[in-house]
Amino acid sequence: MYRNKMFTALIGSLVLLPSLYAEKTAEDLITPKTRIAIEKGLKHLASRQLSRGRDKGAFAGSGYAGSVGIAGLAGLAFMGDGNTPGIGRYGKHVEDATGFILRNTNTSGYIAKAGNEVGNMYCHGFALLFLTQAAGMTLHKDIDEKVKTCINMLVNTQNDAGGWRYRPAKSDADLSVTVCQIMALRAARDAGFHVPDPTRNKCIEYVRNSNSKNGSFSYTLGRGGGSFPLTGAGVVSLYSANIYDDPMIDKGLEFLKLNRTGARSHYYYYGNYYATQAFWHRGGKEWDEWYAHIRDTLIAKQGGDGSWGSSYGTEFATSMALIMLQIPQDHTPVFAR
Amino acid sequence: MMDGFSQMTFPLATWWGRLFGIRPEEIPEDARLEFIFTNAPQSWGVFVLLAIVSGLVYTCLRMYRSEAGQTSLRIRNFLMALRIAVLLLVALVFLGPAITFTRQLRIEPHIYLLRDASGSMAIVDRFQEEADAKRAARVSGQSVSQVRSIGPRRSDLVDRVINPEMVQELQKKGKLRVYDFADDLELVNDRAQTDEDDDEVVEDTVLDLPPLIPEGPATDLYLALRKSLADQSASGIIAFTDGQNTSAASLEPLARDAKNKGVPLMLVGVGDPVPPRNLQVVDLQADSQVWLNDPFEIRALLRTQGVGGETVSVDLLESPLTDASEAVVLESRDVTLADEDGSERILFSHKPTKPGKMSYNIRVKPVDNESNLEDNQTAAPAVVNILDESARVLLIAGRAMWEYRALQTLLTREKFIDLSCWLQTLDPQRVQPGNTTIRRLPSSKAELFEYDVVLLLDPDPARLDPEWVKLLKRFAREHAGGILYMAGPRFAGRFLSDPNTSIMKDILPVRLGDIGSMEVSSLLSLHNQRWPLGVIRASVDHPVMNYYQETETNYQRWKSLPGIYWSFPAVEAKPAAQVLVNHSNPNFYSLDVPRPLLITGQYGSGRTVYVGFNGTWLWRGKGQDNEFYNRYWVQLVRYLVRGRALEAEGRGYIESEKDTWHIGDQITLNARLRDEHYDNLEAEQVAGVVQPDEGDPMPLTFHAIPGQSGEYQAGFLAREVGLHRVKVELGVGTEDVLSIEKELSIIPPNLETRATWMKRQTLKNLASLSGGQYFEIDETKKLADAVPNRVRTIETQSPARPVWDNASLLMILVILLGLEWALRKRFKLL
Repeated sequence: MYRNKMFTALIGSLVLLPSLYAEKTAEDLITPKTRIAIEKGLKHLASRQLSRGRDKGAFAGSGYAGSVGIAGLAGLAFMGDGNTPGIGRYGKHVEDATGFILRNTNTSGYIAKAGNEVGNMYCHGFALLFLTQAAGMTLHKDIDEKVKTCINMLVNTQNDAGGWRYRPAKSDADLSVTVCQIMALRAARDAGFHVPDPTRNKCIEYVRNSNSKNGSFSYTLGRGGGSFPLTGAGVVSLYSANIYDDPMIDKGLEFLKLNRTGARSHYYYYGNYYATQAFWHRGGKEWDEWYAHIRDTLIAKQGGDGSWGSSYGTEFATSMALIMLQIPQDHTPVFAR
Repeated sequence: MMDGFSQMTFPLATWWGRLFGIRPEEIPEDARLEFIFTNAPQSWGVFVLLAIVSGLVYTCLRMYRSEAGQTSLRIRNFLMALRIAVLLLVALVFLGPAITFTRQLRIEPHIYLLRDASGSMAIVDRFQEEADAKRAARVSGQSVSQVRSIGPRRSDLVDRVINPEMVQELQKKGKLRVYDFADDLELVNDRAQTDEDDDEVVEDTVLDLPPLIPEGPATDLYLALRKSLADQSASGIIAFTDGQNTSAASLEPLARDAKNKGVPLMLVGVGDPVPPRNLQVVDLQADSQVWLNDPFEIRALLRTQGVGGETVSVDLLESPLTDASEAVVLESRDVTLADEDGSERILFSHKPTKPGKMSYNIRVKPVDNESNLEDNQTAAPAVVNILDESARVLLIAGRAMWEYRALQTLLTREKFIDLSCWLQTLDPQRVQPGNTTIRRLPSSKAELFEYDVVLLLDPDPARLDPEWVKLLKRFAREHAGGILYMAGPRFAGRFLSDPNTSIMKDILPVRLGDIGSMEVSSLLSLHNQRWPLGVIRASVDHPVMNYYQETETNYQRWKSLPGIYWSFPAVEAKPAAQVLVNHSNPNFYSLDVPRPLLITGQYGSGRTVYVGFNGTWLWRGKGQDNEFYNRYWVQLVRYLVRGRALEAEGRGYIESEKDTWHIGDQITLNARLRDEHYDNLEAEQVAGVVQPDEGDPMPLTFHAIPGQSGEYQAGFLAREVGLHRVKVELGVGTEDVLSIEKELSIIPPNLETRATWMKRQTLKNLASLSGGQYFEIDETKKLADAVPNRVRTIETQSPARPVWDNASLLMILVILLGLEWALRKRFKLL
């Protein structure tokens, strides 16, 4: 009898513990050192944007720089600081990025810079994600129509399994590209656009089918064990579908924790971009620990000019790092809990 | 000309006085009289005068000798004597005989006797040190154990020691001015003034002082000393006090000033100097209106003294408003206090399961040897009206701006809100979000009046029917619905100038000016600088802004919130509206008024809010779980709903700026009243009553506010701690009497109750700095000796009064000369 009571008390304490934990506030997490890192990063990013010419609003540099995808990610980085098109310290930069992406949105609904060889569905996904945040905040009158066209393109090019690949056509699919589109579609829906239920359902089905026994998510269906970046992407896409209580999420987060140090440098920013969002949605102590880790690592990695470096270009890495560091501020709707 | 030679003392007999024309009543009884010559010659002048007089007398003798043979010797001598007498009399007049009298005057300085009448003087001390307890026992005539158990109040000790003997002794040193001080100085008895007014007062009359009434809301010792020192005639200041000083000003400069002026402070410490072990519930707050099954917070502030690090048990009590004796403990919690003395916040959350008005209180179980058990539970519980219906809120947005996205998520999750959204740009294939989804904008009166609140976030005027906007006006005016309008950079200019929608300007509590030119100027300006919120300190206690119980903490938190980039160029608040936040840009002034950003007001019977900026989503991330963003919006909605829910059967309501007040506050009550036809009441005044929890009801008159039909205002001073019910009855004398009520809590003043122990060392230092002395309560017999004796006696001399310039002297001269003339005529000498 006594042992039973002890057991009940122990279980009760374990159940109650997470709910008693008071998560740290943004004011706690974003330390003065972090604030300086963010300021320097934003300043650097702003200096990389073209302010005139045909590509006004694009971000110049190597790798993917100059693409609509980088413009979208950089725009999201500025938004994380509270800037919206035309309003805010970097409001003009957000407005210019919006104009650049809208100018490069084709009539078919595919967002890609003409002649840009590296433009693909990744860039489309990030650019559309950005446009959905700018919609409702910009004075560009054509934005709603263009976003609708982009959504229609995605609806029409979703393959039967529910995914997308590099090109805007119905073909095979991979989770990485697919999550990019899922995030954009979810954000579009939040902004009041119509995304057909079958498209959404198939997205979720694709993500669920990508889940492996070890908790990770695989690159393509039936491929087996997945990676750190894809698991982060998978968990975030489930959260974005308003799925919060699912063993897949628990196991996915465990996988991320176990493989935190295993994130390959090549995908470091991409992988952590999703993983950080995943833990942000999780909240509580796990989030506090995750953010403290990624914050300290990113600050250590920042260059003297405020940039972060990657094989995909400093604009890509800087944008990703800034998005991650600013998540506790809870400004951008798509990253909000 | 009154030196030693000419001055002579001259006892004046009555007949002499009369002879010289002086009435006896002119001379004071205690006066010393002197006879003087005002024209007496000095030095050699005396000899000259004597020579002249002698010469004249000699000439006289020669003249009368030359008349030998004309008459007898006897007659000649007599005539000569007459002439010499006239000459001497003239010489006397020349000398200017006069009288003067000297008086002795007693100059008495003023002695100030100050009695501390603040609320802390009502404390019954435990006197933790034996010596202090014995002192109190000696004064009160009780045993030490009695003093510690039932003991005298501090004010009782003061009444005991300021006895007639002490007063009499002090009066020997000067004129007593007795004042009671708390937040102000009040004259109790002024012997100085009485003496000056009434010559008949006998010196040894002892002042009869009334008992000290310790009810003051603060202790402004600074004010009391400063005003006393301002008297040039002051010779000493005696103060009976516990040494608490709630004034922000430092006392030390005053003490130095007292020394410079030679006015020592004699300070008598009253109370226990050892900080007591005490737990005090100083503040208790809860929303006055909550919803059934929606958890709400009961927040208390616990002040701790001498119990650092201990664990105390705290109970949350609930009782029906009508019967406090039926209180039940809802929750008990152990709270471990911080090591340092200070304040501890206690937060309870309660989910009400029964509708109606309930009262909530926090009770702290006493700790060992606690000094004051009466303040472990506040006398003013929080009164909460539990509503059994959700608040119906309609959220309309011109597009999917971030403000809308964040707010829609927040309000959908709020349990007390039943939200319906109308996003004007939502894809027609989508269902509008919300707890109760709608397929079209509620356009009929029946549909719209289902809601309690309408929130308009930068709506697009092109997508609103003009009839709908007119209906919205009726929604506020007749239905008491709450309306919030948030301007935005996209549509605000058009919305407020478009003929179809501009009637909204009538509803909003803001004056807008020339919108067209303002919009052009707004479009041309950059929105790249973040301006801090121009928070108005006096407004942070408003229900919309109330994050914390303490005004300063609240103010600082508001100031720390992220500022704004964009704002609508409004001009000023309408009359009777309240500006909560202004723009901080000094260039955004119009008519010397800063640009208002957040205004609350009233239209008809509904509450209205104007939000002239966007970007409150920037406040997300501040506090735990977006605490300050969430609370701001939830409080806004509650505020708007409350206007509707306050209505008593549609006949009106009484409201005040806040529900909890401090003693000494002037409480202003606003009432909106309607007659039996639901038209605005037109009476010039309406009788009301304030019923304290204990005590007699107090009549109250609500006066009509000029120009605001149906609006009334009344006010009263918060005098007694406890729950107070304000009541107005409509339809008195008819069968349908309707009572409109409002509950208020009155609590003791914060500063006065913060550190109540006697500040012995402070008083000693002050007394020493001033050149005075500190006295224990049982040493007051020495007080009179310590007060410097500055009583002085001075002599005053009256102006010289001539005694020659009168009829008697003239008559003597005439008689003498007349007699001589008559004799000469008789004896044929002419």
